[in-house]
Amino acid sequence: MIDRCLGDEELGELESLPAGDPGMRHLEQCPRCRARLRSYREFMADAEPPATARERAARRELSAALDREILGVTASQDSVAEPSPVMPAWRPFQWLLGAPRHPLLRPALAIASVALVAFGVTQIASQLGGGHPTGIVRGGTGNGVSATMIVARVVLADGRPALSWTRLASAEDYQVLLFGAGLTEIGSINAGAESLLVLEPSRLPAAAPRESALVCRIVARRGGDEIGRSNLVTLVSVPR
Amino acid sequence: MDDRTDDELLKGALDESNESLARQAASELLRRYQDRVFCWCLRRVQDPEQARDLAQEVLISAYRHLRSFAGRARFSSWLFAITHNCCLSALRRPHLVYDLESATESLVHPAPGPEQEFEERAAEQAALELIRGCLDPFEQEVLWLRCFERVPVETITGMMNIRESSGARGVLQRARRKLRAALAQPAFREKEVAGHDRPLPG
Repeated sequence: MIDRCLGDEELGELESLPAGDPGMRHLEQCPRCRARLRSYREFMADAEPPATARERAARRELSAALDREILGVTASQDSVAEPSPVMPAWRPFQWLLGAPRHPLLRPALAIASVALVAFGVTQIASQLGGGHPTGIVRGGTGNGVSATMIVARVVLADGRPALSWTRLASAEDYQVLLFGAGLTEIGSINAGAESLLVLEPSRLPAAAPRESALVCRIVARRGGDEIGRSNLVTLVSVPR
Repeated sequence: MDDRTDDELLKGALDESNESLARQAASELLRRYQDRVFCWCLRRVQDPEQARDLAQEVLISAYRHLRSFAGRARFSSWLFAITHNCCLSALRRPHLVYDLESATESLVHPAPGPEQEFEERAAEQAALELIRGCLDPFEQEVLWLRCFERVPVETITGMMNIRESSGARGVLQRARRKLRAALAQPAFREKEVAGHDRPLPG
């Protein structure tokens, strides 16, 4: 019998050892090595098909990340091929970008711009004049315009930090998007239908602790589509 | 689907004469294990997004270190070693202390120093001896998976094919009762005191 435990890299070889081999005899005596071998066999078993939409999305994103790293497939090519279910490309005014190139549309566009600015100023003035008692969002989007949610950092009675946000009546679930330094997205957490997320490191993406700052945004979804989002909130601020 | 073996793909991935073919071979090799790595991580952390991040870390790390691996063991066991270590350190990561005034260092999981590593190994060895002495092989393995490998109870129930209605939880409770009884025995306490009097090595 060998008296040392087996390394993870030796586990593959164990499968082909005869019963009387010293390695096998060690295995019979050592719960640590038996547990590792069982984990290795579990690793080598066929992968189960994805059970939920979140798993499917996670696997898709993993594939895209590998393609980017190994084959050099760019992010823009990915997003064209498979738009992310977490944050769909929402470009309601995309057509306007091409409009200035059309000479006939230019005057109409100028008038529309002035009208839009005037409308905005009127809205802001009515808000400042106390038109709405609070900033709480009361419902879904209705007309397809993304609603704004309010998010706050809170500390629970037991001292745990959490994020709390206003609910949207039509939202099915909420996704917490996390951004690292430079506002690059480093991952997301599905909060389900809850409007509260306890911030525990086990739920944060693996890359989170390496970031010098963490910023998050809550996205409300219905049928996988974004119907509302919050402002950006800093989770950890770094003193400079 | 590519019918080359892992070793053949690895050889292709390390071939410097054609970078494009090397990348394709590496991609095929890692894609072959991608779902296995993801599912294994998912069973450990039980959150698809975290499992995705861990699997990504594992696979990209494996890709970047293919050359240093260079076929010294089976590719699958090498990849398993990376996956296992990556998951275990994620599961052992300390809870976030939320403090706006805190420095970033408090967020970073510090690598264990030599003293801490020694203590962890010593504790692991002591636990190993104890559980060998008072649990049956099945209980030993369940307890080890739960306490040292941080495998969720439901996953252990599936892995060990436990048919009891309480699953692995029942086995763990039984094992803990036995351990508590063993620890309460005077013989163990005397051994423990003697162990504490021993000077630390080096």
